[in-house]
Amino acid sequence: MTSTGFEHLLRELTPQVLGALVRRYGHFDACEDAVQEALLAAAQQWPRDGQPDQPRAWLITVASRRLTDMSFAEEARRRRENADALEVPLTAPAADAAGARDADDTLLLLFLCCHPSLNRAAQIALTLRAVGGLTTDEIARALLVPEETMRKRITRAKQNVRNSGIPFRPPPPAELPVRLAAVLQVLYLIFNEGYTSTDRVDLAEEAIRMARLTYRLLPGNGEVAGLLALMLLTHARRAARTTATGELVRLDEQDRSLWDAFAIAEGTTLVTDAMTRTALGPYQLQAAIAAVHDQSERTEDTDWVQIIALYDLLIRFDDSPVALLNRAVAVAMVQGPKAGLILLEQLETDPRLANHHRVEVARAHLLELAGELTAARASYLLAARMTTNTPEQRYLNKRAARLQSRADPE
Amino acid sequence: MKFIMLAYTNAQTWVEGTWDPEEFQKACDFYEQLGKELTASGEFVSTAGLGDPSLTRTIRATPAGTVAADGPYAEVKEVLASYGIVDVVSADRAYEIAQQIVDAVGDIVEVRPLMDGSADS
Repeated sequence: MTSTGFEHLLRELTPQVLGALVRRYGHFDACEDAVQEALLAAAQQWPRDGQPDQPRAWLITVASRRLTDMSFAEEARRRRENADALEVPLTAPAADAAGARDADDTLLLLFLCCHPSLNRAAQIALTLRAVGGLTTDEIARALLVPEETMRKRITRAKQNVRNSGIPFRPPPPAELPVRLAAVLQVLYLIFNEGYTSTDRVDLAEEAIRMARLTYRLLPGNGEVAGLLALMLLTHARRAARTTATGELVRLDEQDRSLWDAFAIAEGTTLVTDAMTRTALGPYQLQAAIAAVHDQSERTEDTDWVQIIALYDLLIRFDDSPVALLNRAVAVAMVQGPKAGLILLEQLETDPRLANHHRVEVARAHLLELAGELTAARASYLLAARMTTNTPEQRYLNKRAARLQSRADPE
Repeated sequence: MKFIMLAYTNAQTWVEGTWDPEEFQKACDFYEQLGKELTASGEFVSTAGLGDPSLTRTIRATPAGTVAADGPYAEVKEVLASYGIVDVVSADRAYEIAQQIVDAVGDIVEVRPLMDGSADS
């Protein structure tokens, strides 16, 4: 097996091994350290000596041994200090027996990493490490922070898990929807961190991998399916979204032949299936909107009426400013740019959109469609100043420059 | 989200070196402690103090070609003394850190978002 092959296998096994250990011994933080060491040992030994017959059992054994080594001193101290509060019986049921349990364990890990007592940055880091199986260094490079900072962020997150006594068991049924929503949000945030640079871990693909995993664990949940579909349908456009030099290409100007037909088919099937058999939710609706775009062979074939209807439904679940804004653009596509501009003006009174560069981006686009080139140019320039995203800024400035030459040809 | 915090200080005090040594030491201790805290909280990205403004060399383009000159470009009352970059959950958290710096050191701190290079939209 190639070293990349090992890497994939190891990352696949990480949450299962960690889950098995936590189930047996408790102490999430110590188990996590032990698993990291076992993974390191595997990465060194397997390529040299060959892969063991039962890689998962091998990892559990090595990690358990490491855990025992580590915890002797620690454990003795803890026992003295704190009779039995943190003790988990060593006679807990064997964790590495069956597949169903692995699945449960991975899901429990996800819930634990995205626990509401952790802040967003901690949830993301911990999920990438414990469920994604990435190393601290990989996570640090992907999120562009020093390794030491990431190490501390993860250590602190693990301490918080320990100190707040978060149990390694399913959330109570009443809490389940909220806890699952947190998991899905963390996965979606990781997806949106996806950088194009090739020297970093691909977070978008990592997020898709974890969303797939979650979908396998909870196939009956429509929102999990919806999130996976949304990611697939968005990621499908990746090759067309930037030029070779890294410049952004707007959806309506993308070369649609570059879209990934496989991913589109998979995402569309997923979301269609979810919407017909489960309760509707915001991820399904966003995926459905993405699917309508993805299925239009040409921009002018886009079914904007359907997109407006989907936004109307989406807003009932979550009247997020971005949804309202996108709806206004969709309305402009059906009723003309003036109608969209009127909606934008109304939206501007929403405090959540005050100083939001996206309003200005939408306005610039609609003014351009309306043929008001001077105003459109001013809007593009203003939007460029307001964004903090470099590729977007470059794109907006270029757009403004193009209008300049159209408005007064030399 | 990443933010840069630009700390400015009084140019005259710097040039004349009229700091109170005790105050100066306190400021140094504060920055050291803050660096430790921000590393421990997983928010630290980088920081540096700047050399003396007189060590500045300004290079600029003019119609006659590139011109280099010793000293800063502009005569100003406040000069950049140090910068720090943090990775925090919100702008408010960055402002809070800046507030801590201002409270302790008494300088002016500008907080500005850093551009990010991700091409997802």
